[in-house]
Amino acid sequence: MAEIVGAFALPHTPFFPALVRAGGEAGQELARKYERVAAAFREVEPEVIVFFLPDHLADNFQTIPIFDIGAAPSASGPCDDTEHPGHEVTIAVDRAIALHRHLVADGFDVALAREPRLDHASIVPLEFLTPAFQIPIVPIRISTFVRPLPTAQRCRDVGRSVRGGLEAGSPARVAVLATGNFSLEIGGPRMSETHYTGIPDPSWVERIVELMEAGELDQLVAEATPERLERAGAEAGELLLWIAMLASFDFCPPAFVELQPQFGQAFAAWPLRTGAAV
Amino acid sequence: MSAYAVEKVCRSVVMDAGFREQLREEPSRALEAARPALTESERRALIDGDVGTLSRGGASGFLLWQLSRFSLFGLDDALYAQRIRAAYADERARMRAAGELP
Repeated sequence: MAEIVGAFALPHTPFFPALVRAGGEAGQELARKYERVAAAFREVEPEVIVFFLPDHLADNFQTIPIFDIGAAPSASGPCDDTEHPGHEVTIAVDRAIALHRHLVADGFDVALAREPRLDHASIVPLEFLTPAFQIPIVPIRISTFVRPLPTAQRCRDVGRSVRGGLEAGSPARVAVLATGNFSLEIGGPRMSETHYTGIPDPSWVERIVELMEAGELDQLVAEATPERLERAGAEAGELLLWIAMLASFDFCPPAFVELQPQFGQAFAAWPLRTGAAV
Repeated sequence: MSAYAVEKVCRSVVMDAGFREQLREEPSRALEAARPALTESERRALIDGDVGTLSRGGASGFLLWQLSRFSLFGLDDALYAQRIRAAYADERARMRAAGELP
């Protein structure tokens, strides 16, 4: 039986690593936020990462599975030319296959990706969390770009089933991860007046954080309607990754959540392992 | 318009450096060879950097923006944004009036 020892969420904005490397006030503040999550992550000593990920129409394009699990010995990335050094990320392939079997048996028609390629959404967070890429991952991708999106309730149910699959599997300390924006439009009609991106619904971003801090997952799922996600921007469906992650443990208020309102996203940690401190 | 055919060109810009270079050197030829085939008006809109028309035709903003990210068809981020805003001026005004856009 695997134990979920913590849940963590952090952004994958492609230019953040370069901003941190450049130093300066903004870079230092970013580095502090990432390190806060990384410190909480190290504290629970995970052996495996189950990572709820988007795919930016990079690997999945001709066919768009609503859910898929990457199951290969490793996967390279980023495949979407985001000027990061390339990495080969080890996949916990046996656990991925076991999880796939569990999810399908549990009624979820999840695709199996036998030669997955990772985009910046996995590489950027892992660069900060596990700079040596030493911890194997199980990538679980959810279609968060192409309409129709899966419902929030469906993603919650998948998250619950992932927990069941992990608990039925071999022993390991597992960290569950999510990444993504609550409100974001890139290149579409809801962009701001001053940039090709925009945060169309800042009040929704604040509401999500309020509900997470209150431990109100039921309410968050109820309010994350297709209409609300649409209003929050074309890329706002990434909230669904958070919802799947939050459903994979006994949801409680986070140890901390740090909002980045100007980017419509947040850093957060739920260290769960007994004795873990932040 | 086939949003998928246009999106596939944009996505190939990201994933295929060779195709990206072909678009810089011989845009008409590269677009004529694209599959699924593009219509004449789709090829023209791409070559003109007419992202407003392509967006209104259903192509993803995220994928269309890749054209300006890689400085193709005379686009840069400012020009890209200007053309999208112009194409949706009425909707943006309505959304702003309804409090759905800051």
